[in-house]
Amino acid sequence: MIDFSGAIGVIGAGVTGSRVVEHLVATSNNPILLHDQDLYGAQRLAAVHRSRDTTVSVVDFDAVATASVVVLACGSPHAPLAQKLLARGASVVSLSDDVSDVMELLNMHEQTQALNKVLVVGAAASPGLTGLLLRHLETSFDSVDEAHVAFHGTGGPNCAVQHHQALAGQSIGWHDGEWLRRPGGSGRELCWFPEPVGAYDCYRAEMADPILLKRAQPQLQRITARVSARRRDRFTSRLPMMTPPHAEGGMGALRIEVRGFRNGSRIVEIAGVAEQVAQIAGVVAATTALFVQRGQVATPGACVLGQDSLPNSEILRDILAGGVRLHQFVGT
Amino acid sequence: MNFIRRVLMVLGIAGIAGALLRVRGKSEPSTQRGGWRPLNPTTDSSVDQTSSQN
Repeated sequence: MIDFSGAIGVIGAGVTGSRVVEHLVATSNNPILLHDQDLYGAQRLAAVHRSRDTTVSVVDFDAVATASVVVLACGSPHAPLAQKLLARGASVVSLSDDVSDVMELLNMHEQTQALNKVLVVGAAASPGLTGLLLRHLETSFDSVDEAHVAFHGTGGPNCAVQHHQALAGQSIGWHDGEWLRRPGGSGRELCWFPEPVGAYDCYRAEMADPILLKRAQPQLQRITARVSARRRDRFTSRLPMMTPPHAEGGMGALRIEVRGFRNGSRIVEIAGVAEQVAQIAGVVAATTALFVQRGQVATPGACVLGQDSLPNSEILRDILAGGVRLHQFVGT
Repeated sequence: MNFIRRVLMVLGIAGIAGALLRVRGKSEPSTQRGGWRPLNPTTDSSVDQTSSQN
């Protein structure tokens, strides 16, 4: 009989789910309960890690719900799954970047609090790492009032579909005390990402970052999020995807530009990461899950990376130890 | 019939013009000059600039 005490559950054995499992196997000895509708894919992923010290077991949904914390690395919506898992006594780490899904997850705060569990919303690359970078950059300021996110690349096929739909949706931005909705695909801005990604034209898109960054840092006055796109992406954004998405996107990148005051002067700090998007998301989610499993995220309820009640600097430190390299922009 | 044809032509021309306006145009650069350097928050050690832009 295998002992599943202190187990971490992972739902989704796709590109991002496999990176979550890979990072958990590399950094912990906790048993891993893996569940996916594609049983063959889940068994193949478990077999890859069979020779290691950590046990990776393919289980059904009822069994994965017995884990102390479950990472949702499957396609959205995550809210119904999170509801079931919380009701069965598991804490949840969601990688969802779908705006309506994220809103539903955040609305589960009181329910999660009543169950004395933790629900981490948007623990991926963008959102997720952006919140941690905002928190890190904030230490260089006396006060911050603006955060602008730009993102390039996609993780697995679900992420590529989400990216495609985001350009056709309504972007949400926080501007001087009110939420502004603008059409996706507008607001072109040439953004420089860390090498080897370089410069890409980025546009407004339906991204969850502004909602989560506002939740993490309520004092922010202006928050925007943009995503890179080619002309063809914008031209076809309102149509179904012409070609099936790649199994895994190439090198991705994200950057966050934070503006505020230091010693009475207006300053700007920019941090970024260039890495495969699934790798960033996997490391962020797995690291967050380990913190929740060890009880280092003490406040019950729905939370987002970067908010005051979380050990943000420790989480970021472990993410960087996991191989994600952080860069800072120097210039004007 | 002629009226319908004209309406369709106007809509078609407007669609093409709209599509051209959407995909053309100039970018507004977010940053002008500089580069990226590795950053390690734990040790706060920084290496010299590794890449330049403009």
